[in-house]
Amino acid sequence: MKEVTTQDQKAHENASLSRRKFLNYAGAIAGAGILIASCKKEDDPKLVEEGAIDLGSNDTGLLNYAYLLQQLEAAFYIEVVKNPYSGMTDTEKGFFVAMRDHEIVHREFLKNYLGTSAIPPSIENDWSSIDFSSKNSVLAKAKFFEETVVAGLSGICKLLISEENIQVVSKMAVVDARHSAIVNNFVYPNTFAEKTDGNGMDVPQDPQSSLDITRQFFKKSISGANVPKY
Amino acid sequence: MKLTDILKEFEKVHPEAFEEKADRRHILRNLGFKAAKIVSPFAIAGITVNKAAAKTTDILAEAIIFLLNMGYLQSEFYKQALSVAGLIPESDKGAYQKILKDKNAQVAFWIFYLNKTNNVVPTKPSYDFTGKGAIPKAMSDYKTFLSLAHAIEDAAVRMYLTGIHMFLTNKAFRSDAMNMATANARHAAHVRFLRRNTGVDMMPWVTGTEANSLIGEIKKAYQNEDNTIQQKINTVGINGFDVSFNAATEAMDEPMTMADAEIFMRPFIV
Repeated sequence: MKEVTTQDQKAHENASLSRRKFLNYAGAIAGAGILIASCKKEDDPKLVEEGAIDLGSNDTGLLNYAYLLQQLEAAFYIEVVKNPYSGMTDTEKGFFVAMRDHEIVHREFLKNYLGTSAIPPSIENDWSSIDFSSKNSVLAKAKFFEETVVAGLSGICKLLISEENIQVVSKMAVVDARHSAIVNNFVYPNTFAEKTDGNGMDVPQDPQSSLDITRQFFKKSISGANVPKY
Repeated sequence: MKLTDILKEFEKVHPEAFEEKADRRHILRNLGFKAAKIVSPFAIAGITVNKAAAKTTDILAEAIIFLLNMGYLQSEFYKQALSVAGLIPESDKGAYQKILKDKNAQVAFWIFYLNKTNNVVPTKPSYDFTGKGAIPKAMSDYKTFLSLAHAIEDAAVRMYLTGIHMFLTNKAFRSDAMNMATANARHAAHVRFLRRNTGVDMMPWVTGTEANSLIGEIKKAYQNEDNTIQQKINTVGINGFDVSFNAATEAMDEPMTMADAEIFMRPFIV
């Protein structure tokens, strides 16, 4: 992973600004804003609840949140394939197996990419809200997870600083969007892009509100207190 | 209608464009570039036309024009297809109308920001989706149409990934491109799903360089899409998991360079 410290952020902003010469006055202000914000966070890390998993700060915190999301999706599809709902067709199984494998790639890639900064692997899930024997329950959750992950990764992408990190997260987000489209179609035909807005865009979600709706699927407490905010 | 009225109208339809976009507004004041010289769709690629002009352009405006040109092609593609009697089955028409609506909105979004910064908006070219005869049935046979449709959609997803990178230093535009990228990925998945329903063995995601691909330069849509090394990490069989080469290529889409995008789009421009 490209480590991003406050110093790196400063260097990165400055380098990009001077290189591209498209910012003058306004850019300097914007750059300074980012710098001040990040210094403040660095100097004053928020306390994390005892026993909670701390996602961390800066790009690391954002990538750890992406890793958490991919852990969730991979674990979900592994369970769906292992305990198929009654009446799962071979075609349906083929889709779930493929999506499972993509999510395993996303999860394991992020684990290796984050290296020693990664949160623990295989954080135990709470599946109490899912009935894996019911097609409706599984599809409803698949739809919810894919929509949440697409919006979550896009939200992360907006906040990331490092070029490499933005690139890898965006590459995964578009494939999760393909999943989301198709799962939507399984739930109800032709709903592949039902939530695009008036600009023909998906709507991203900031990591804080995203975490608020995903933490219920983990048995351990997860802290995003130091993850960058909108 | 006066400009202020247009803006008011736009704000009603797109309130989100006026929220939390401080850094985009700042950028826009500084976007000024010699657009008059680069209104040709491919001047921006800096390969075939006017290298000097390309060098003086701002990368953000370059990215907007790049994505706008893809949007033009996509919206015209579906507009034409929907107007050909008997091409698209009734049962699938709603989906294409929805896709066209999203493409038109994306085009309008980029035009709005070029206009807002007093930049010249590139003229929409005329298109021939037979690729000047290379795909004669592109607009008359549904199965052929579908194969071109997913190549265009998959290529667009890849171009948006490039766009995100070009917008690197501007959070707002970067986020816009990201949100259009995932919308395009949804369209791509659906078009591939429709093609699958005609009996073609394909999934909503791209496998390798796509054996079911098209002829000639149009294959550019999938060139280098079979990458499995991400930031020096090999994703085939990653960490001992049973991940096949195909699954590894499917799991991430790859950006398409502007040069390859030009080669892909050029055959369709009259």
